[in-house]
Amino acid sequence: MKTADALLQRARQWDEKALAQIYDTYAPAIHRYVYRRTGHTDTAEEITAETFHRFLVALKQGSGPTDYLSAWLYRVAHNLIVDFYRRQPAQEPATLDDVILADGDQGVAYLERQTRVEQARAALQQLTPLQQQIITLRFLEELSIEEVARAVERAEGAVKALQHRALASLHRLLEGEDEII
Amino acid sequence: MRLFKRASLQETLPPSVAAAMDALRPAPAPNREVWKARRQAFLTEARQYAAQAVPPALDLRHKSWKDLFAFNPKEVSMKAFVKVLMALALIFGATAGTVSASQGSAPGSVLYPVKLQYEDARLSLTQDPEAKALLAMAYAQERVNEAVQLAEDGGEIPDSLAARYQLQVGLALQTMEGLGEAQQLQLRTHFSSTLENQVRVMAQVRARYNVGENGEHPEPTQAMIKTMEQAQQALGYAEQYAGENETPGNVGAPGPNPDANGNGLENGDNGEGNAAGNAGENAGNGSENGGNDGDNGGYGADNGGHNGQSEGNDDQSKGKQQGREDTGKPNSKGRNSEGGRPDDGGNADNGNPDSGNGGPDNGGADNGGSDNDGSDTGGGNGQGGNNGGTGGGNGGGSGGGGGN
Repeated sequence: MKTADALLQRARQWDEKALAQIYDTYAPAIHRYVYRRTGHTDTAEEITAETFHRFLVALKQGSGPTDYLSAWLYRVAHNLIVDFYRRQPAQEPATLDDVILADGDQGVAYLERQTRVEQARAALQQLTPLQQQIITLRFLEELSIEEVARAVERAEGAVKALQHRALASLHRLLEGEDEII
Repeated sequence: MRLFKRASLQETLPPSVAAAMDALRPAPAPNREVWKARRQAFLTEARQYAAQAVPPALDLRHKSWKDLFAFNPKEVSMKAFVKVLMALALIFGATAGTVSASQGSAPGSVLYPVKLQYEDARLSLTQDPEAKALLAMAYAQERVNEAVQLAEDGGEIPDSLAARYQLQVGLALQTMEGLGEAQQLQLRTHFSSTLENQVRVMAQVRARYNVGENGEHPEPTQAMIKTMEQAQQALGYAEQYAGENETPGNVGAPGPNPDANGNGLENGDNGEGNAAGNAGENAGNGSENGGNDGDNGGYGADNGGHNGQSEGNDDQSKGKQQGREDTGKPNSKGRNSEGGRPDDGGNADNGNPDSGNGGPDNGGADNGGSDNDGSDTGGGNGQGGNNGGTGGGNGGGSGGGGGN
């Protein structure tokens, strides 16, 4: 955390190297996070760019994170995702391009895989935004409870409770969908 | 539920959820080209903001007035003396007389510290930001007048005078930042013309010291000129941002003939040339880098006229009014002309090593204009160009005498 804090300090002085380092360190993670939430590369790119724009604006205004930069960035990205869905609730499902192919994955295997991804994302997106945030951060970004708590600005105990409920809902949703198919 | 590392984390999940997570985990790497462009846009934006930050020399918030005196032991003891003097004056009811007698005193005189203390007291007692900014600038002007006086009498300008000048200009600009936009605009016009005259006068002071001294310029003189140039630059940027938020008009009045102002010094033979030359150089860089020289050059020249208008610090209100009423040329010429690309000319302007400092103060930049346009990658270029124009105006404007 020390190096991250030092980096942030230098960024506050508009040290360009520090800013570049911050971008290179955190932008890929934010991009992945947004993609996993939305399933759209374009949206992931837009929201990542907007997140980092807001970071600069915050620095300019003398506000913004003083420590735990990544938690701050995840939080801003989450808010942007929520805004994004508020503006255009009816989202197209992920296109073929967006589905990642493992090498050699073809034909039936590919379609199966795509279906699984779509089902999983559809289930995730039925959770509340906060639950989605927690599940994604915890199980996809693999943050610790402590880190998740910082990103969602809640106590660790509350995060555990929310996570528990979210997992139960997700389980129910996924089992239910299995039955339908 | 306890904390587990990834492998065991999955084990705690119901199989269906674990499978869903596995399905969601893969995320494509972003398009390389897009990624590079985004990264560049981010850094360009950062560079713009950096250029708008307060230059270190003007960032005096953390200095107290006392620091100024503390570094010179002689002056510290002088301060004690002044306190005694003031206490005695209070007891014998002579305060008003002493203070008013001190007003004409020059650095080095016995009453000079009284004058400074009186200034400090008035500044700290003035609550209204506009009045305070004007007062600070008036006192800064007083430092320039003192420098002129010292030069004429053949005395040396003490470092403390230059330091105090810097402090007071800094205070004036910072206090100005706290004002509403309309008031800021007025003060900016006033300040930039005041500074314009000060640069001229100091150039003459410098020229005077130059005579017979093997081309060595005394440091305090140089320091004061540097402060002036930095402040001008800060005002230039600020003006530009104010222009974005308000009417597109440029605040400039073709002022009265600057030569009408009395000048304490005879015209130095090369001093004037120096001042104009310096400002002109900076302006030249700005417009070249901005990538739209033609427009800016013309605009810069037009803008120049208003700078001669200050008639010394007793006439602040008049100066303000004049600046306010004239709309001049639209200020937007340079701004959007080469909008789209994140990494052409404008950046180079911001990083211009010739300009000597980071540039503008925060006031204008925080007014929302740049917040709104910050997200588009193209914002930077036109701004860079526009700076050049304003700089040119300042350079061209220094025509005639100033000072009191």
